[in-house]
Amino acid sequence: MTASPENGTSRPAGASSALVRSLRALVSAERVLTRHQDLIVYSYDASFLTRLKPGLPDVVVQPQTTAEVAAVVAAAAEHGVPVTPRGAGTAQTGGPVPARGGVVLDLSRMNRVLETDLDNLQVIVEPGVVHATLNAALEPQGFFFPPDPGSSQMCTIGGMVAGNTSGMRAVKYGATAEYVLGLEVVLADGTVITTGGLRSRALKSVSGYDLTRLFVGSEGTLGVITRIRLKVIPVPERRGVVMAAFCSIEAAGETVIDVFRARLRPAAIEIMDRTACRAAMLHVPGLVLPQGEGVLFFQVDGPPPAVTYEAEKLAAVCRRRANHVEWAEDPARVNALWQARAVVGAASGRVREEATRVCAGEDICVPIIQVPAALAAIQEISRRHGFPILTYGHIGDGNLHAAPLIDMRDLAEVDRAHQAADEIHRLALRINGTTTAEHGVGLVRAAYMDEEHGPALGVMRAIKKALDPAGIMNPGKMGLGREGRG
Amino acid sequence: MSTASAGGAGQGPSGGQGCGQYGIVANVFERVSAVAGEDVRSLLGELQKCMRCGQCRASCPVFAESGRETDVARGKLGLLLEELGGDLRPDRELYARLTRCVNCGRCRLECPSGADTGYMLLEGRCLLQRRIGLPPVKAAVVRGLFGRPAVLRAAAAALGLVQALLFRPSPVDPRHVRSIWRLPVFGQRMLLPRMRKRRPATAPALAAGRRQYVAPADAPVVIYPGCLVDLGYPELLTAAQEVFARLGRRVVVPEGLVCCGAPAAYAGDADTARRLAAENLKALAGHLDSPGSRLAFLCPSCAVAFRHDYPAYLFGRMSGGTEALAAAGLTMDAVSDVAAKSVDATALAWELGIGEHLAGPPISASVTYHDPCHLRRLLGVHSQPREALRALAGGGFREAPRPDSCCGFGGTFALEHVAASAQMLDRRAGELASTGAQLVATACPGCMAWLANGLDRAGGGQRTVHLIELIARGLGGGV
Repeated sequence: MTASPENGTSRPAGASSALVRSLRALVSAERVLTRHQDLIVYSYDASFLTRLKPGLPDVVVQPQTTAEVAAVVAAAAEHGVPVTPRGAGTAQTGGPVPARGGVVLDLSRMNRVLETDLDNLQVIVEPGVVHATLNAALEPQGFFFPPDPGSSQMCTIGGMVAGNTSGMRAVKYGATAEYVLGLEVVLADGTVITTGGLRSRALKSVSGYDLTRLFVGSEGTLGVITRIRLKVIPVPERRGVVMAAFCSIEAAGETVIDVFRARLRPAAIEIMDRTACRAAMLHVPGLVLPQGEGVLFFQVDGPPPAVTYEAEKLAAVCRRRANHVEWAEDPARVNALWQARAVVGAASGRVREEATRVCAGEDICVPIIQVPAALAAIQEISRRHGFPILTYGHIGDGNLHAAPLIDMRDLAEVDRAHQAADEIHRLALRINGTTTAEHGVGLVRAAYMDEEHGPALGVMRAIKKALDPAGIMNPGKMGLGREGRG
Repeated sequence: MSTASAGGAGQGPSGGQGCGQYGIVANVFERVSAVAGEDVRSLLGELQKCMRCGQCRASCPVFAESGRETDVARGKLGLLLEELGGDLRPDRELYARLTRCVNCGRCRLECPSGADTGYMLLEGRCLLQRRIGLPPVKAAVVRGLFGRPAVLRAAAAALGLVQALLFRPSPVDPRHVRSIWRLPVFGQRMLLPRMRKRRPATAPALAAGRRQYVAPADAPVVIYPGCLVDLGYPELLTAAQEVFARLGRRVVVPEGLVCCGAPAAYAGDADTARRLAAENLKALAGHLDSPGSRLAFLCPSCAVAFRHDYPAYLFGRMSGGTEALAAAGLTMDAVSDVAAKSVDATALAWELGIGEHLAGPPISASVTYHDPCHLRRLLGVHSQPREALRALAGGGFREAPRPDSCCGFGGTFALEHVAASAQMLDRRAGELASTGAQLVATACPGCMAWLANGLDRAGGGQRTVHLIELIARGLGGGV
């Protein structure tokens, strides 16, 4: 943290009082935070790295309008000070944590749904709208925004766009990018642009370079997203669930391939390994999962007869290799079957008392046929380092979430967890996967960018330089600086 | 600008050659636990369970109004960790931030990692309070008043005199009085329950000996009234006595009960809280011996103190708990036995079948209901009050929007953080008023008093009422 433990002073040493003065003139004073105790809580996200080594901002601003964001960015540019945008701070990458101090823009108070244009299948929202809040407002009207991150109840749409995040339903519905029709972005000099057409309400457009796609997933390194035109689609009438248990992880992996070959397209295909199943059963007394090395969960959705047909056919495909198959489409049974998958994140802590789950090596994606091999390799890494790693994930697109459970009071174990994460990342690259499927690069995966992208990283750096020549937009992230360090 | 703070975070992993390349030599968990005593070590063990996912942003009612990250558990625990690490000077500002909390338990119940935020916040405030003391006003309230029953009674009598001079009866509800001046920060005239003379030990109807016990006489319903009922709403105690008598239960209100200790515990003064807890447990000795006996509460916050906080925190995992238990001559078995018998009075009445005794809707008014946080969340009571109100309200039961939201009272939270509390109150009172119901029922004297203020500010002429009163009224002329 800062060199000085003083918290009675209004600003930590090094903050530019001229900048703070101008910020107070631009944004109402109670939304410009400079007390040390206010800044500390912006010095971390859910990443393992920032829990160990926080990054303190010099000032936090909570803007409420695009004009305020533009004015703050322009003032920061004038003073040559970094700007780090932040939503709910639920990232697991260090992305919303300032690597070099400066201004944090807390956008979570720009949280209005500006327009609900359902006839044209779209809504216009501010970046701070919480994902679950948006869908709670849309679903009674028969529509939804399909990406479904585990952090739905608190994460913001702005964060989802900046990270191009997804969730379980990505198998059928894809990631956030597929639903972003246009953006309003404040560039690094304070200019405001609209991508996807200034006044467009079109659902398709190939007019010009696809700047919308460029900003989606840019993690705040190119500009600040202040308004989002989002495509929404009708909610499926019914949902069903199929659960199948397998004697081997390989059999589970092969079943996923069988499913696609059988021309089925479930909304989600999830896998839990044996450790994850044990965690779920410890967490929910009375929950009984069938014996097996791995359990698959399928979600199917659509019109009622289609759901019945698809679930029955899925169950038949599973029975070829599974030792236990169940399916349901009435909501109570669906929830009962889905319960183990729903609680697995919460349950991870139960596998080891006096320990914490850390987010490290937590988001690799591998080719589907490599999923069984990757799960076995992660268990081998776990054995070698001497702490449990619980693995579950979206096998339908090869995305695995590994959760090491360590005691942070044990320095050697902390260090081994870093090694384990590094090994998991390198495993993914070795078997033609990627280090991150939906969480992002941020600080924690910046070092892999060169190896993963080669000369393409040079093009990314050129784009960054063109849009942000002074390098003030979320510096230190995504390996965009020289030496691969941002 | 400062770069010293974040150089490490900017580095990240740079290669796969093993240890030491991350620029991280120590972390606060390891650094502090290496030198700390067992108490701080175990607090750190719990603190590390918070993986900073931010789920508490979705559950915290204080954050819902303020939008301040320091209000959610993740933020408070982050500050606490900094303080334990020696990077943050313990001061009044830190204390004020750690107590911007209504202690509703939502963050604990909804934490995906199962982190016990209640324990950590109470213990954290306690450690801080031992270093810097309580702020004077808070010390006067939790120690000087609630910590000393005789002083509390004298103060209530004095407040009664002040009320006679500077307050006027509320036009909508004569048991509340309204200040003749507007309070600063609060911005309005304040309503308080009218302070009453000491309650009669037994309701008149019971003294007449007209009751036949249905349950054995050694399975009594013991009632813990709580300070606010005792001093401001004694008629709630009478109502409860009548309700349980109608159910054929022997009703006991032991002498010598004092404040439950929750205000002190929430403020970080575990010593005062434990002293009060021990006094209560001694006053109850002998009354709850039979398996069928129950301890019924009119205030869910008091119930949570007895049911959960005594065994789990004060005499449980908080530092000094075991020693305090021994010093008070108590055993964990005794504390746990009282905890297991502690229940909300309205839920108990419902469970014992009071529904069958209701003579038909006793009131013509329409009624809405406010869930006290502690009742709904920590005691799990939310469907029974609604069933009761559907049976009781002649004018119909009307559900308010966001049935799970907080009134903003939170005990001394309303005193210490008036502006934040008033903001929460106005939102909640607006929602309740929007139902158009004539009565706002709840099952907590704290919510009753605070919502009376909110409804007064909203100006819709509604008044608050405790569910136990409506149930007692629903018994018809039998009592």
